[in-house]
Amino acid sequence: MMRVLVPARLRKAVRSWFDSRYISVADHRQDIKDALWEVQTLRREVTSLQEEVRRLRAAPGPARPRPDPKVAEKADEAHRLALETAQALDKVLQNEVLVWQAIDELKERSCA
Amino acid sequence: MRVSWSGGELTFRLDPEDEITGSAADGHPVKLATNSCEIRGVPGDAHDDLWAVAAWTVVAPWTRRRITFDRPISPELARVLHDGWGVEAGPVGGTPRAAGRTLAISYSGGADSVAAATIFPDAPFVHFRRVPHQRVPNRWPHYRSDVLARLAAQTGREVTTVESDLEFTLAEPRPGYPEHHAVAAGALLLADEMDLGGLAFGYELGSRWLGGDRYLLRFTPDNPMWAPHGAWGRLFAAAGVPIVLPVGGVSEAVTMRIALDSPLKAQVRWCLRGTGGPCRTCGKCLYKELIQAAVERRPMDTPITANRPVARKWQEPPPYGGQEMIEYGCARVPGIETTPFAKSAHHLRATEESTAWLDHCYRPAVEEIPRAWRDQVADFMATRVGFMDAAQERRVETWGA
Repeated sequence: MMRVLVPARLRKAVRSWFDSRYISVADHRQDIKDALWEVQTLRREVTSLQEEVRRLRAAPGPARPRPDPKVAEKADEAHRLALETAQALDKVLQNEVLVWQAIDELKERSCA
Repeated sequence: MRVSWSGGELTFRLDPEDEITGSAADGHPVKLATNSCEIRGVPGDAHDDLWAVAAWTVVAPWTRRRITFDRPISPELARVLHDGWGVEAGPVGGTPRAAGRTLAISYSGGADSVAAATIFPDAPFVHFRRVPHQRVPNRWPHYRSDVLARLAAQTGREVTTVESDLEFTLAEPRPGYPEHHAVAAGALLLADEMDLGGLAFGYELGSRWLGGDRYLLRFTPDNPMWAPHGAWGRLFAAAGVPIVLPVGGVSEAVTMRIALDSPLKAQVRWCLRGTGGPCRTCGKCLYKELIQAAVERRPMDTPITANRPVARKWQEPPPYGGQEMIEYGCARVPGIETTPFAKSAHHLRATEESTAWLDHCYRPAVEEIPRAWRDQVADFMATRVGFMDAAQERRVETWGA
């Protein structure tokens, strides 16, 4: 290795030139601290958001605007009527099958 | 029971011993809604036995002792009806139908029938589409049969869509096939026109061998619906359209994998409700999402929570319909304890080892496929799936024991 004497002034100039290009240890420490702080804040935020999601999931959906009670009543009535008519028709159709069964049986008996 | 056809319209009358409440081949009680239905677009000159078998898929649950068709059936068909159901069938006359050369696929668009279609890439499809019944008000408009028919048409395969209201002959539990085989009523009537020698269904290991769905938790080598030597298997064979189950030896995990890997991937749809995609909120979507998540090794993605009515049965202890797949899913889905299947998982305590048999093919299922199509299935299973070893086959044969 070869050592060369460098004038103090030049050495200082070179050093400060380098220093201006690189971040100091103290600044690094501060940066790391800031980053950690940011991570912790984000963690707190995520936790509170997760809680919010849980709360919203559990909460009932947004209240719908209430329809005009008269219209609602009519709709309910129409729905009830449709349902009961369909159920009644089920019975009518089944009875029709049974009536044909009885007619055929009578026919067969009268032919015999 | 007396049945008569007028074109594609079927009318039937009960004999004195018949009743409104009958029983399907799987033992489930079914209630009759009305005594007529229609199968559209079928040829008028199909073989007499085909008309008889198509009618039988609708009226079987309500027939007690005898059935009179409006045209003669072959002695062979009459014998099969007698052996299978103890029913006197007539009038007897004519010769049985000879099997044709084509295998068609009864295609619903779900993962299982897509898997069957993948094994037979050249087989034509017959798709059953529900249409409203003239006499029964349709209180089930959420069932989007139009969407399923559109998807089937988009597969690029040869598709014949048969429109029918026959599901509305069933009042309870709800409109649906009186017998599972009624889905094939249209295909049966098309059998001569399409030269059918076999009809393939997407019924998989659970339905064929493990007593799947309404037919619970036991090894079922003599399954009356799907075994070739069972009542329905013999009946279809007697009409020259033997039942073929290309995926009868593999679980729904395997059919899911095959379907999601197939050229028909974009058209796969097991949900009957969604229009732009699966609805994600029905019971079927929940069940299939468990299987898909297990296959894809990811957490479940579902908006359904344990307190929803569709998830209620998974809060109860087993047995479940399709329990083998619940075990498979619970053993594989990460974070199962945060899903609606948490309680089932706790009850079942399944592991990857205890459910590994469900990733392979049960060889006897391939052996019972008619010779003409057996090798194609065997080759597919050997190269794409792999067969079960003896210990794994024992898992099938001791299921529910």
